[in-house]
Amino acid sequence: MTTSKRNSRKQQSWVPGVLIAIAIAYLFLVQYIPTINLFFEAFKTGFTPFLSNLTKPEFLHAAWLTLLLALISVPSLAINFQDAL
Amino acid sequence: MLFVPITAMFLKASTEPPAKFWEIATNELALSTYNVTFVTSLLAALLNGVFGTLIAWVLVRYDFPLKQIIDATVDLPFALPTSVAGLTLATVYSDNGWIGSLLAPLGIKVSFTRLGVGVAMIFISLPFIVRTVQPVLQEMEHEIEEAAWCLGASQWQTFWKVIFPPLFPTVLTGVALGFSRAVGEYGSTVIIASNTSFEDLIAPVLIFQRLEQYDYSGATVIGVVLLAISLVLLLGINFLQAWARRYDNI
Repeated sequence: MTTSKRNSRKQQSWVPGVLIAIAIAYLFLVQYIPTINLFFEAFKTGFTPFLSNLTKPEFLHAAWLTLLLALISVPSLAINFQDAL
Repeated sequence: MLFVPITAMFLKASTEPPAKFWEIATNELALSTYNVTFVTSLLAALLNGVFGTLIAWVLVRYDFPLKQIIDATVDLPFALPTSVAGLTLATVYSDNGWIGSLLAPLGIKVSFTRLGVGVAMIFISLPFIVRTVQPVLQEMEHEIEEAAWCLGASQWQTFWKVIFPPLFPTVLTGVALGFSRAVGEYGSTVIIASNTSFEDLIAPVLIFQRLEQYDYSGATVIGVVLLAISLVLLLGINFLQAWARRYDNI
Protein backbone atom coordinates (compact mmCIF):
# COMPACT_ATOMS: atom_id res chain seq x y z
CA MET A 1 0.00 0.00 0.00
CA THR A 2 2.71 2.43 1.01
CA THR A 3 4.84 1.64 -1.99
CA SER A 4 1.98 1.97 -4.45
CA LYS A 5 0.99 5.25 -2.84
CA ARG A 6 4.55 6.46 -3.04
CA ASN A 7 4.70 5.38 -6.67
CA SER A 8 1.57 7.28 -7.56
CA ARG A 9 3.08 10.29 -5.84
CA LYS A 10 6.29 9.85 -7.81
CA GLN A 11 4.36 9.73 -11.06
CA GLN A 12 2.90 13.13 -10.32
CA SER A 13 6.21 14.71 -9.43
CA TRP A 14 6.20 16.61 -12.72
CA VAL A 15 3.41 18.77 -11.29
CA PRO A 16 5.61 21.22 -9.31
CA GLY A 17 7.98 21.64 -12.24
CA VAL A 18 5.16 22.43 -14.65
CA LEU A 19 3.51 24.84 -12.21
CA ILE A 20 6.79 26.64 -11.56
CA ALA A 21 7.42 26.87 -15.30
CA ILE A 22 3.95 28.34 -15.92
CA ALA A 23 4.36 30.86 -13.07
CA ILE A 24 7.76 32.03 -14.27
CA ALA A 25 6.67 32.16 -17.91
CA TYR A 26 3.68 34.31 -16.96
CA LEU A 27 5.84 36.63 -14.87
CA PHE A 28 8.28 36.92 -17.77
CA LEU A 29 5.56 37.80 -20.27
CA VAL A 30 3.86 40.31 -18.02
CA GLN A 31 6.66 41.80 -15.95
CA TYR A 32 10.24 40.82 -16.65
CA ILE A 33 10.47 41.22 -20.42
CA PRO A 34 8.91 44.72 -20.30
CA THR A 35 11.25 45.72 -17.46
CA ILE A 36 14.36 44.36 -19.18
CA ASN A 37 13.23 46.11 -22.35
CA LEU A 38 12.99 49.37 -20.42
CA PHE A 39 16.66 49.22 -19.44
CA PHE A 40 17.58 48.01 -22.90
CA GLU A 41 15.87 50.97 -24.57
CA ALA A 42 17.34 53.43 -22.07
CA PHE A 43 20.92 52.34 -22.70
CA LYS A 44 20.54 51.38 -26.37
CA THR A 45 22.36 54.47 -27.57
CA GLY A 46 25.05 54.20 -24.91
CA PHE A 47 25.58 55.67 -21.51
CA THR A 48 26.21 59.31 -22.46
CA PRO A 49 22.73 60.12 -23.84
CA PHE A 50 21.27 58.45 -20.77
CA LEU A 51 23.34 60.69 -18.52
CA SER A 52 22.62 63.85 -20.49
CA ASN A 53 18.87 63.14 -20.23
CA LEU A 54 19.28 62.57 -16.54
CA THR A 55 20.88 65.96 -15.93
CA LYS A 56 18.37 68.02 -17.93
CA PRO A 57 16.79 70.71 -15.70
CA GLU A 58 13.27 69.58 -16.71
CA PHE A 59 13.97 66.07 -15.51
CA LEU A 60 15.62 67.21 -12.28
CA HIS A 61 12.71 69.46 -11.42
CA ALA A 62 10.09 66.81 -12.19
CA ALA A 63 11.94 64.15 -10.20
CA TRP A 64 12.37 66.50 -7.24
CA LEU A 65 8.69 67.45 -7.28
CA THR A 66 7.62 63.78 -7.33
CA LEU A 67 9.94 62.94 -4.45
CA LEU A 68 8.89 65.97 -2.42
CA LEU A 69 5.15 65.28 -2.80
CA ALA A 70 5.63 61.63 -1.87
CA LEU A 71 7.64 62.70 1.17
CA ILE A 72 4.83 65.02 2.26
CA SER A 73 1.82 62.81 1.50
CA VAL A 74 3.06 59.47 2.86
CA PRO A 75 3.89 60.64 6.42
CA SER A 76 0.66 62.65 6.58
CA LEU A 77 -1.26 59.49 5.67
CA ALA A 78 0.63 57.57 8.34
CA ILE A 79 -0.31 60.21 10.92
CA ASN A 80 -3.94 60.01 9.80
CA PHE A 81 -3.87 56.27 10.31
CA GLN A 82 -2.53 56.71 13.82
CA ASP A 83 -5.35 59.15 14.58
CA ALA A 84 -7.87 56.65 13.30
CA LEU A 85 -6.45 54.00 15.60
CA MET B 1 -9.42 63.59 2.19
CA LEU B 2 -11.94 61.19 0.71
CA PHE B 3 -15.40 62.68 1.16
CA VAL B 4 -14.80 66.32 0.24
CA PRO B 5 -13.62 65.59 -3.32
CA ILE B 6 -16.40 63.06 -3.88
CA THR B 7 -19.06 65.44 -2.56
CA ALA B 8 -17.68 68.23 -4.74
CA MET B 9 -17.89 65.92 -7.76
CA PHE B 10 -21.52 65.06 -7.02
CA LEU B 11 -22.38 68.76 -6.57
CA LYS B 12 -20.75 69.67 -9.87
CA ALA B 13 -22.46 66.81 -11.70
CA SER B 14 -25.84 67.77 -10.23
CA THR B 15 -25.64 71.20 -11.89
CA GLU B 16 -26.80 69.38 -15.02
CA PRO B 17 -30.57 68.82 -15.23
CA PRO B 18 -31.46 65.11 -14.85
CA ALA B 19 -32.42 64.65 -18.51
CA LYS B 20 -29.12 66.14 -19.65
CA PHE B 21 -27.26 64.08 -17.05
CA TRP B 22 -28.82 60.91 -18.40
CA GLU B 23 -28.05 61.91 -21.96
CA ILE B 24 -24.35 62.52 -21.22
CA ALA B 25 -24.08 59.38 -19.12
CA THR B 26 -25.64 57.09 -21.72
CA ASN B 27 -24.53 58.47 -25.05
CA GLU B 28 -23.01 55.89 -27.36
CA LEU B 29 -19.41 56.94 -26.81
CA ALA B 30 -19.75 56.88 -23.02
CA LEU B 31 -21.38 53.43 -23.14
CA SER B 32 -18.58 52.06 -25.29
CA THR B 33 -15.96 53.39 -22.87
CA TYR B 34 -17.75 51.76 -19.91
CA ASN B 35 -17.70 48.54 -21.86
CA VAL B 36 -13.97 48.81 -22.61
CA THR B 37 -13.07 49.83 -19.06
CA PHE B 38 -15.15 47.39 -17.06
CA VAL B 39 -15.21 44.32 -19.31
CA THR B 40 -11.48 44.50 -20.01
CA SER B 41 -10.68 45.07 -16.31
CA LEU B 42 -12.86 42.16 -15.31
CA LEU B 43 -11.23 39.83 -17.84
CA ALA B 44 -7.76 40.98 -16.76
CA ALA B 45 -8.60 40.50 -13.08
CA LEU B 46 -10.10 37.04 -13.68
CA LEU B 47 -7.06 35.92 -15.70
CA ASN B 48 -4.84 37.19 -12.92
CA GLY B 49 -7.08 35.41 -10.42
CA VAL B 50 -6.00 32.13 -12.02
CA PHE B 51 -2.35 32.94 -12.65
CA GLY B 52 -1.88 35.05 -9.52
CA THR B 53 -3.14 32.18 -7.36
CA LEU B 54 -0.81 29.84 -9.23
CA ILE B 55 2.15 32.16 -8.64
CA ALA B 56 1.27 32.51 -4.94
CA TRP B 57 0.97 28.72 -4.69
CA VAL B 58 4.35 28.17 -6.35
CA LEU B 59 6.01 30.78 -4.14
CA VAL B 60 4.58 29.29 -0.94
CA ARG B 61 4.81 25.57 -1.63
CA TYR B 62 7.82 24.88 -3.82
CA ASP B 63 11.52 25.60 -3.62
CA PHE B 64 13.41 26.58 -6.71
CA PRO B 65 16.43 28.71 -7.57
CA LEU B 66 16.04 32.50 -7.40
CA LYS B 67 12.75 32.10 -5.52
CA GLN B 68 13.46 35.00 -3.16
CA ILE B 69 14.20 37.33 -6.05
CA ILE B 70 11.09 36.30 -7.94
CA ASP B 71 9.04 36.74 -4.78
CA ALA B 72 10.41 40.27 -4.38
CA THR B 73 9.88 41.27 -8.01
CA VAL B 74 6.15 40.49 -7.90
CA ASP B 75 5.77 43.97 -6.41
CA LEU B 76 7.43 45.55 -9.43
CA PRO B 77 4.22 47.13 -10.80
CA PHE B 78 3.84 48.99 -7.50
CA ALA B 79 7.30 50.48 -7.85
CA LEU B 80 7.20 51.27 -11.54
CA PRO B 81 5.37 54.53 -12.32
CA THR B 82 2.34 53.64 -14.43
CA SER B 83 3.33 55.84 -17.35
CA VAL B 84 6.70 54.10 -17.49
CA ALA B 85 4.92 50.76 -17.44
CA GLY B 86 2.68 51.89 -20.30
CA LEU B 87 5.66 53.08 -22.29
CA THR B 88 7.62 49.87 -22.00
CA LEU B 89 4.58 47.60 -22.45
CA ALA B 90 3.67 49.53 -25.59
CA THR B 91 7.22 49.04 -26.91
CA VAL B 92 7.48 45.35 -26.08
CA TYR B 93 4.05 44.45 -27.46
CA SER B 94 4.18 46.68 -30.55
CA ASP B 95 4.62 45.13 -34.01
CA ASN B 96 8.41 45.45 -33.89
CA GLY B 97 8.82 44.92 -30.15
CA TRP B 98 10.26 41.81 -28.53
CA ILE B 99 6.98 40.00 -27.94
CA GLY B 100 4.82 41.89 -30.44
CA SER B 101 7.05 40.89 -33.37
CA LEU B 102 6.42 37.24 -32.51
CA LEU B 103 2.66 37.79 -32.41
CA ALA B 104 2.44 39.99 -35.51
CA PRO B 105 2.84 37.10 -38.04
CA LEU B 106 -0.12 35.41 -36.34
CA GLY B 107 -2.17 38.52 -37.02
CA ILE B 108 -2.37 39.50 -33.37
CA LYS B 109 -1.86 43.17 -32.68
CA VAL B 110 -1.51 44.02 -29.00
CA SER B 111 -0.23 47.56 -28.64
CA PHE B 112 -2.69 50.28 -29.66
CA THR B 113 -5.66 47.92 -29.51
CA ARG B 114 -8.05 46.80 -26.80
CA LEU B 115 -5.82 43.79 -26.19
CA GLY B 116 -3.06 46.21 -25.22
CA VAL B 117 -5.39 47.82 -22.68
CA GLY B 118 -5.90 44.34 -21.27
CA VAL B 119 -2.15 43.71 -21.08
CA ALA B 120 -1.62 46.95 -19.18
CA MET B 121 -4.44 46.06 -16.77
CA ILE B 122 -2.99 42.58 -16.25
CA PHE B 123 0.40 44.10 -15.51
CA ILE B 124 -0.98 46.55 -12.98
CA SER B 125 -3.35 44.22 -11.11
CA LEU B 126 -1.20 41.07 -10.78
CA PRO B 127 0.51 41.93 -7.44
CA PHE B 128 -2.86 42.54 -5.76
CA ILE B 129 -3.93 38.94 -6.31
CA VAL B 130 -0.55 37.37 -5.47
CA ARG B 131 -0.09 39.44 -2.31
CA THR B 132 -3.64 38.76 -1.12
CA VAL B 133 -3.52 35.00 -1.63
CA GLN B 134 0.06 34.40 -0.49
CA PRO B 135 -0.28 35.05 3.28
CA VAL B 136 -3.50 33.04 3.53
CA LEU B 137 -1.90 30.13 1.74
CA GLN B 138 1.04 30.35 4.12
CA GLU B 139 -1.24 30.20 7.15
CA MET B 140 -3.14 27.18 5.92
CA GLU B 141 -2.74 24.13 8.11
CA HIS B 142 -0.79 21.29 6.63
CA GLU B 143 -2.62 18.75 8.79
CA ILE B 144 -5.79 19.05 6.74
CA GLU B 145 -3.96 18.15 3.57
CA GLU B 146 -2.19 15.28 5.26
CA ALA B 147 -5.53 14.03 6.50
CA ALA B 148 -6.87 14.21 2.95
CA TRP B 149 -3.89 12.24 1.68
CA CYS B 150 -4.31 9.66 4.42
CA LEU B 151 -7.95 9.25 3.41
CA GLY B 152 -6.77 8.45 -0.10
CA ALA B 153 -7.44 11.66 -1.96
CA SER B 154 -5.31 12.30 -5.02
CA GLN B 155 -3.26 15.48 -5.27
CA TRP B 156 -5.86 17.05 -7.54
CA GLN B 157 -8.72 16.05 -5.20
CA THR B 158 -6.78 17.44 -2.25
CA PHE B 159 -6.35 20.74 -4.02
CA TRP B 160 -9.82 21.04 -5.52
CA LYS B 161 -11.90 19.74 -2.60
CA VAL B 162 -9.78 20.55 0.47
CA ILE B 163 -7.50 23.51 -0.21
CA PHE B 164 -9.42 25.52 -2.75
CA PRO B 165 -12.82 26.02 -1.03
CA PRO B 166 -11.41 27.92 1.99
CA LEU B 167 -9.04 29.78 -0.32
CA PHE B 168 -11.76 30.90 -2.71
CA PRO B 169 -12.97 33.99 -0.76
CA THR B 170 -9.39 35.22 -0.59
CA VAL B 171 -8.95 34.78 -4.33
CA LEU B 172 -12.18 36.75 -4.80
CA THR B 173 -10.85 39.53 -2.58
CA GLY B 174 -7.67 39.66 -4.62
CA VAL B 175 -9.61 39.72 -7.88
CA ALA B 176 -11.81 42.53 -6.52
CA LEU B 177 -8.78 44.59 -5.49
CA GLY B 178 -7.07 43.99 -8.82
CA PHE B 179 -10.26 44.78 -10.68
CA SER B 180 -10.79 48.12 -8.97
CA ARG B 181 -7.16 49.00 -9.57
CA ALA B 182 -7.51 48.13 -13.26
CA VAL B 183 -10.69 50.23 -13.57
CA GLY B 184 -8.91 53.27 -12.19
CA GLU B 185 -5.78 52.71 -14.23
CA TYR B 186 -4.97 55.68 -16.43
CA GLY B 187 -1.23 56.20 -16.88
CA SER B 188 -0.31 52.97 -18.63
CA THR B 189 -3.52 52.38 -20.59
CA VAL B 190 -3.50 55.86 -22.08
CA ILE B 191 -0.08 55.13 -23.59
CA ILE B 192 -0.61 51.57 -24.78
CA ALA B 193 -4.06 52.29 -26.25
CA SER B 194 -4.57 54.30 -29.44
CA ASN B 195 -7.49 56.05 -27.66
CA THR B 196 -9.72 55.62 -30.70
CA SER B 197 -13.38 56.23 -29.91
CA PHE B 198 -15.53 53.07 -29.86
CA GLU B 199 -12.44 50.85 -29.99
CA ASP B 200 -10.05 51.15 -27.11
CA LEU B 201 -11.00 54.44 -25.48
CA ILE B 202 -11.26 53.87 -21.74
CA ALA B 203 -13.59 55.89 -19.53
CA PRO B 204 -10.87 57.75 -17.57
CA VAL B 205 -9.42 59.00 -20.86
CA LEU B 206 -12.89 60.11 -21.97
CA ILE B 207 -13.05 62.19 -18.78
CA PHE B 208 -9.71 63.72 -19.66
CA GLN B 209 -10.88 64.50 -23.20
CA ARG B 210 -14.00 66.20 -21.81
CA LEU B 211 -11.81 68.29 -19.51
CA GLU B 212 -9.66 69.32 -22.44
CA GLN B 213 -12.83 70.59 -24.11
CA TYR B 214 -13.61 72.62 -20.93
CA ASP B 215 -16.70 70.44 -20.48
CA TYR B 216 -16.30 70.18 -16.71
CA SER B 217 -19.81 69.04 -15.86
CA GLY B 218 -19.69 66.47 -18.66
CA ALA B 219 -16.49 65.09 -17.19
CA THR B 220 -17.93 64.93 -13.68
CA VAL B 221 -21.09 63.21 -14.92
CA ILE B 222 -18.99 60.38 -16.35
CA GLY B 223 -16.94 60.39 -13.14
CA VAL B 224 -20.10 59.94 -11.07
CA VAL B 225 -21.26 57.09 -13.31
CA LEU B 226 -17.89 55.35 -12.99
CA LEU B 227 -17.95 55.76 -9.24
CA ALA B 228 -21.50 54.38 -9.06
CA ILE B 229 -20.67 51.35 -11.22
CA SER B 230 -17.55 50.66 -9.16
CA LEU B 231 -19.52 50.87 -5.91
CA VAL B 232 -22.22 48.52 -7.21
CA LEU B 233 -19.60 46.04 -8.42
CA LEU B 234 -17.68 46.16 -5.14
CA LEU B 235 -20.94 45.63 -3.24
CA GLY B 236 -21.69 42.67 -5.47
CA ILE B 237 -18.24 41.23 -4.84
CA ASN B 238 -18.72 41.70 -1.09
CA PHE B 239 -21.96 39.73 -1.25
CA LEU B 240 -20.22 37.07 -3.28
CA GLN B 241 -17.52 36.90 -0.60
CA ALA B 242 -20.08 36.63 2.16
CA TRP B 243 -21.68 33.82 0.20
CA ALA B 244 -18.35 32.07 -0.29
CA ARG B 245 -17.69 32.31 3.46
CA ARG B 246 -21.13 31.04 4.41
CA TYR B 247 -19.74 27.90 6.08
CA ASP B 248 -17.03 29.67 8.07
CA ASN B 249 -18.96 29.85 11.33
CA ILE B 250 -20.30 26.33 11.33
